[in-house]
Amino acid sequence: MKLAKRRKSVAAVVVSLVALTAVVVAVVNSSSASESDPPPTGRVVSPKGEPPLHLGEPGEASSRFGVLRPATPAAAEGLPSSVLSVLANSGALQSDARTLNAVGTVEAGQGSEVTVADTSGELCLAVRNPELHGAVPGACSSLAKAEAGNGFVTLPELEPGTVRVIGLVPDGIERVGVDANGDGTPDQTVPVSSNVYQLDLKPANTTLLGLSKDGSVSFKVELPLAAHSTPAS
Amino acid sequence: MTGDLSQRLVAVALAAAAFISFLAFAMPDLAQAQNGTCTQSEGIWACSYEANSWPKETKLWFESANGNNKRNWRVNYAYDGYGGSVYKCAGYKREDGAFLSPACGTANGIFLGIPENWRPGWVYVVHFAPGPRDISGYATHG
Repeated sequence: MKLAKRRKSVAAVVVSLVALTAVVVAVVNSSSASESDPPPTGRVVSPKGEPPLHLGEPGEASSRFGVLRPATPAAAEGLPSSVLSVLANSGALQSDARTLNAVGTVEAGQGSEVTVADTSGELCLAVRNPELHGAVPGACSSLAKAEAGNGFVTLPELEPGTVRVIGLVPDGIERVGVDANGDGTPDQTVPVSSNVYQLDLKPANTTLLGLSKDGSVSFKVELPLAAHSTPAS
Repeated sequence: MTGDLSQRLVAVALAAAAFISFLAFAMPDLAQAQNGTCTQSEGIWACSYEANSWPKETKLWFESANGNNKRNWRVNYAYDGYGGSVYKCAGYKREDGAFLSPACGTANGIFLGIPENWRPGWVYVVHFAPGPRDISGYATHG
């Protein structure tokens, strides 16, 4: 009899704890929801069957990257569906819809078409090239990191023995230099066109230098390309 | 008798733990099993996979608990656990074994959009830091 009463008491305590936990969780979630940003309301431009990609307004990035233009419906609908797909799908991973605030497209040479997008505050670049078999590689970074030259993507297996580097630089950077021997001066330079540069390098560690019009170095970025001298397991 | 049985159970448990540890050492692929979880929203599956202190130059493949890893992946993203400073790649292998050229970089997120005619297949991430690092992958499929 005593044992049965004890079991009932324990069960009652457990039920009470579960109920209390549920109440606490509900309160926390409701307070979190009230603190989050309101959902985007702009027109959805993502392809059918893809996560929503809303149109938004140009932000701070547009004042530092001249390639960016307002994301009008016409501008967004002119983008390839494969590019819209990669921009939209990152939203599904973050459990919130992505907003396309500004966008621009650059022909970077050697068949590369580069889309630069301000997407939910991140600066993304997406590359299309016939040599990529329809794949769309790219990178997204914060505005600060993009200004520091970190907004680049490398393609180590496009051609044997070569690593293609495609990157984004802010306004004011006219050329990108390659310092292969580490002496702080560029051994070769490539021009920047509409904030985008492209170059092919050997799979060896090197440093990229962002060069202003007067030749001064605005940023240095280390490229550990020796990683691609042997294939990963 | 009860004491003998409990001693035997302890011995079996210790032996099993030792054997599993040996497998994890001798067969590192097994240690990667079940690193992915997925959620669905409006018909889109968003999957994450991650590993702490993952060795360099070693592909981390998406592995789900039910073993259903070959999927119609749309985009694969690679992240590191340090706010975007590790040189890493997002990659993809088609069901016939062909690889897409991976996308690599040190930005916060590196991504590889996968063309429809290359699906289904498997996704992976890999890093090239000097030592073990925390890395993660995120991929979507319909």
